[in-house]
Amino acid sequence: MVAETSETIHQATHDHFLTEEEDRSIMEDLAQTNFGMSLDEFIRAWKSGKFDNDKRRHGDVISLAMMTPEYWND
Amino acid sequence: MAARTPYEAAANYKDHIQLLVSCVTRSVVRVAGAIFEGAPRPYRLELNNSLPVPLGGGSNLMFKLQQFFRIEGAGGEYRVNLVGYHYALHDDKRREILVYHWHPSGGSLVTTPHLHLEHGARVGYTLILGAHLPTGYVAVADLTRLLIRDLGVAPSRPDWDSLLSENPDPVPAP
Repeated sequence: MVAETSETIHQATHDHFLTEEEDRSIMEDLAQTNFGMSLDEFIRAWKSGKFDNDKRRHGDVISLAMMTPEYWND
Repeated sequence: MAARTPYEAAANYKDHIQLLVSCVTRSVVRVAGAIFEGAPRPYRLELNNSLPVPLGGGSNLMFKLQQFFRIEGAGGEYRVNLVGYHYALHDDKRREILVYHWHPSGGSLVTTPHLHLEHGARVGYTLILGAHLPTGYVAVADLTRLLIRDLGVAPSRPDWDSLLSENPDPVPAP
């Protein structure tokens, strides 16, 4: 089945940039959903090496870590 | 294509990726800024707030897309330069099947683009799980074509083939 409205949706999203509050909310939700902890707790756990051998969650760990300034600035 | 401002460069790039993924989903692409709570980082482009989106057709696949980029340039000519990505395919229980990674910093052992075959792929050779299988840079247009052509995802628009051919994503600078 081919959708009819994808071009109009594309047009309507022209200005969709996240606010900083939305950004933190997204990261907090991912930290809670995937790791059962706050974003700050996740950053501390990741930096301490807690997830280094967690192959099952490697993708989720990298994904969330890359969203934070700590990943790029350390 | 250069833009007049950094904002315009980011907006143009976001629109480009939105157009490509419109071949498989109606979900929205958005961009997070290069400063977060006072600290610098690359811009982040993400589909569906970085959550996997269900794809159409009989595939039962879910797709997650994140890209990280910087804006380079000056004097009214600004361009996006990709510096990392995370693309993942999940099954309908949200288990990862495969993950394309490029994370050139952050203490990773492998900093070149690579592929992980995950538990959802049900690979019998256990050493493959967790291995970093080398790839070149993986473009969103190529990945979108893979979903439709090989993995049973129903296209969201009739012109998907020509659209993906005629709108390749820019390859990042080495």
